[in-house]
Amino acid sequence: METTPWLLEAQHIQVQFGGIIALQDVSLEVGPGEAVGLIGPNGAGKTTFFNSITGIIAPLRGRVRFMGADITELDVHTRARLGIGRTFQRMELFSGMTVREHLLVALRAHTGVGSMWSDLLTGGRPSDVERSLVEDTAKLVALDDRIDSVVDTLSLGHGRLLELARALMTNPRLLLLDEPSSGLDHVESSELAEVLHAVRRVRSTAYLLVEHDLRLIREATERLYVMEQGYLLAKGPTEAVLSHPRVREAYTGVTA
Amino acid sequence: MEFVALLVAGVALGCVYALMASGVVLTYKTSAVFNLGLGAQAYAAAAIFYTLTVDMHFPILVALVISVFLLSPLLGLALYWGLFRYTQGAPETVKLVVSLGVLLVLPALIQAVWFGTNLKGNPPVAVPGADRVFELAGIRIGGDSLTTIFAAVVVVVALAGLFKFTVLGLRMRAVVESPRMVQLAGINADGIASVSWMLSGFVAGLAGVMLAPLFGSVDVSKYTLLLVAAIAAAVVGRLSSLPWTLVGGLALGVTQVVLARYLPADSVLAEGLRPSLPFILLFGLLVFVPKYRTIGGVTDPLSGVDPPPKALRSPVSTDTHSKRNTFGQALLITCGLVAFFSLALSDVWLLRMTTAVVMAVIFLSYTVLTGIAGQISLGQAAFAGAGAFTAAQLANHFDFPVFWGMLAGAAVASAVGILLALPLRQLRGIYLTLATLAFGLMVDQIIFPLENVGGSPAGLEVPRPYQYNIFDFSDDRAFFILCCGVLFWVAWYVWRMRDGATGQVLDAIRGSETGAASVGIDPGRTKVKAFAVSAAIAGIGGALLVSLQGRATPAEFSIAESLLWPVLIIVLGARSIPAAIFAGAFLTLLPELLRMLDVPQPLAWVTVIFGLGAFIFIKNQEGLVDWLLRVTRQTAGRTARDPATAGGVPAVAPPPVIDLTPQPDTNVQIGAQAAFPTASPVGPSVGVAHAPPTASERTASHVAAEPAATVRRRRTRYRPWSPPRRYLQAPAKPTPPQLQTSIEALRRRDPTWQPANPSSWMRPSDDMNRPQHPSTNGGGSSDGAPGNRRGPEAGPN
Repeated sequence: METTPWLLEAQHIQVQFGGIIALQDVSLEVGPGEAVGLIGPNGAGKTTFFNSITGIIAPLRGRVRFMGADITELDVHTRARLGIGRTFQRMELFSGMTVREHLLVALRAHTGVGSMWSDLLTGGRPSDVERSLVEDTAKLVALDDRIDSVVDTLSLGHGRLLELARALMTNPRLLLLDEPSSGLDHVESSELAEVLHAVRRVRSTAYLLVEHDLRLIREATERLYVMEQGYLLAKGPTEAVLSHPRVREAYTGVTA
Repeated sequence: MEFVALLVAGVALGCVYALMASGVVLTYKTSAVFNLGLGAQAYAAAAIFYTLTVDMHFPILVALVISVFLLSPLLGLALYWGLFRYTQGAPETVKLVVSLGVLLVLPALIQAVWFGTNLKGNPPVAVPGADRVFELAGIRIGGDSLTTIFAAVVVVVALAGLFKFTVLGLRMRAVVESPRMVQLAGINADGIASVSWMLSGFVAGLAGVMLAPLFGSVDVSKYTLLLVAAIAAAVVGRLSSLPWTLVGGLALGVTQVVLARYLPADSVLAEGLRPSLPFILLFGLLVFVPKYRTIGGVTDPLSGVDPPPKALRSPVSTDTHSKRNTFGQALLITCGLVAFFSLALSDVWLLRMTTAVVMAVIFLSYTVLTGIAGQISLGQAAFAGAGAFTAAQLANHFDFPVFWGMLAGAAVASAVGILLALPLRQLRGIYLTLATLAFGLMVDQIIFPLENVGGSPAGLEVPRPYQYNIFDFSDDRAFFILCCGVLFWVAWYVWRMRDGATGQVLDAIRGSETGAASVGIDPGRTKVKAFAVSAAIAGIGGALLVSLQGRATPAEFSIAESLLWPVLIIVLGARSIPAAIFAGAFLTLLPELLRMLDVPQPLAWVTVIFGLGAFIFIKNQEGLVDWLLRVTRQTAGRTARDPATAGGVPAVAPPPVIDLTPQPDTNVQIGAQAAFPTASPVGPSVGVAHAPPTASERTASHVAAEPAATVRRRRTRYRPWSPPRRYLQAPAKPTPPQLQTSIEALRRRDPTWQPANPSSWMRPSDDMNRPQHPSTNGGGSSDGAPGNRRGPEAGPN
């Protein structure tokens, strides 16, 4: 197997829904510890692209490689265990569970702790290490004051932060963030940028960020891909791409 | 020649299936309810028709008009306005439980009120003169077959045409996508849904009346089978295509009739395969056609603006991990109760009490599968039966001690559960439930009647556990204590699991399979685990039950129990262990109570009472028992400490509002309906997202600083608008004068302002179903920011 400098390589992904081509020959790379953005108008296929990387949708053509290995055929949860964490545009929280339980269940899915028989003996009480990991992560995304709230009572913005925290609990190498700032106010989305910086600095986690908030894109990414109507329009350093007239036209609808 | 006649008979049967199936598709398409109650509606029509013709001697045509054309649509309408209107936007579970309630209540009510449970044989054919036999080129064809085929084809084709070619059909399809969006587009969603429920009621009634003579009797269980056949046909049409549904129904009917003729009549295969073909088809389709594995439920595009759906339960108390003394307390209380009951009760009541305890064990199997893992199984009696018959057969043929037989029964039931769950693990929600229903019917019809499984209809004898002279449970009191012990341990196990790591993983699956997979939990494996544990518990319960009664009969574990049990436990509280115990008590003791009160038809009334509970479930989804416990605790004033539930934030007087609203004379009137402050140019705001302006939005500085697109303004006092008929047909008109004036008025105030894209305001394709008014026509703002969503998209286009 040839070695690759990339953490994630999506090669020539094509996805079709019936007769509609949702993704057409989309290739994208993320390096280890790199911060990459992905923008495009609604319906450009960004979420579909995420879904085909995480395995929710099987691409018609194309391969997905992660850390050099071909993961195109793997199950969603196997990919997650390899180190691909993600958040969702439409939140996928576990309703009825508290913030603490969310983080704990993600942590245990990662560490493999907890079986039916050990439940009978210990009652599934979290150990001190687990407890402190959960509380630290909650503090990182500023949810420590809501840690025992049931998620159904959280606001949209807090829900997004919780999704991020839940993904972080599995200690991913790559985070796929699907519009994490929608529903956050200005202060919260600046905090989000700080969290992302911190995660990258401390754990050298790479992330791929789908976002409409160009301010956040500027703050939090180094490289940027632009999609339009299912194909890749542009890629390159964030500032350069954002200032390109064709990108401005596609993304903002303004003919520059 | 004979084959052609056979074919005609098969087509007739298939047509009835297709009719019923189109009713299923109709309600699923237009109100996203998978209406299991259609079986009951068909039965109701058949019962009314029978009563009118046979008992009251009405002419057949009059009876037909009354039962099918009048009462059936009315029943459909009543079901919508009485029940299913309130389930809009509710989780699939709720809709399913409610429709299951209809399936149980309606026939039971009819039987209890006038029809009785006796079999009513030889129902009349619905068309006068249809008992004539026609001869065409030497083939003898029954007139009833021909009329059935004719009626079914006419109805299905008419429905398909309605969906495809009419405005009403277009709107019906739109209502599914999002009732709220359609309402925003100015269409009366309730009206559309009413029409479709009436239609589906009519179709079900027609199928019911036409089917009765084919079965030779008016019998509830036949209508459950009809329902499953119809579901299979509807699944062939992917729950949306009426032509394919017709094809599915026909194929099913023909195959069934042809198989009946050509398979040797005395083989087990013929006996079992023919009636159960629909379940096998349904199961096979769900399991082997990959499309169905990924279908989610119908989702509302507007649900993005909703808060997340309510959980199926009250929040878990946050200190679950600190309850250390509960085990000791529970043990003490249980011992006390057991001692009291075993000493105080008379023999008869002791037996009833034991039955209640055993049923509680079976109900705990739902706690694991439905309450914690969120999967609704309609085949649970099959697991209980597996445990029971394993113990019975081992005891009868191998002289196996019943004590070990029960454990073997649990193991076998668990294995059956795993075998079922393995192919089903990719299915979600309603599809998984349907597959368990097909499985339950299959086991009920094919497996349990086998001599090697269920023995004869009279049943197998099962002794009480007796081992080594020490463990002697043949005495009723001793057996009662044994059952209580089993219940205690199972409850303890379920409780530990629910609050432990496994329970959290199962909870996560219930909350969101996609989310769970994204953190590395394998949803399939987890579901298999839940099925295994649940089936094992049901198996122990089943084995205890037959050992209690001394006899194991297949009728004890029929599909009827599989349908009744989940309704009862879900209504009482699927997650709650006390609820399982209550459910056992209700199920056993309520019929006795009614019998003591001399109520006629007590069993039917019990079903009615339990089924009615399903309707309470619409409003109260945490389960009655949990709700009662919470309310009692709240009135005792002990939960006030929890700020999340009690809203315990101390009230502080808010500072006065900084009111910078311009004076009235500076306002610009737009169409005399909405007033906007002049400081902000009126950005065409998005019609759906009218959040009330926040405090910061209200301040003038903010308004001045922000570009128009980001300020979303609430439409004040905006009358509900329904489009006049001419808007629906006439081509676009030029800007209405009053709008033109307001544009000019705006320009006078701010010369630089102009509508974002004037041509998009009045695009002919755009104005079909929405007011020609800037605040709902979401043509973008000048910079086309991401908020630039168009208005109601789900309207017909």
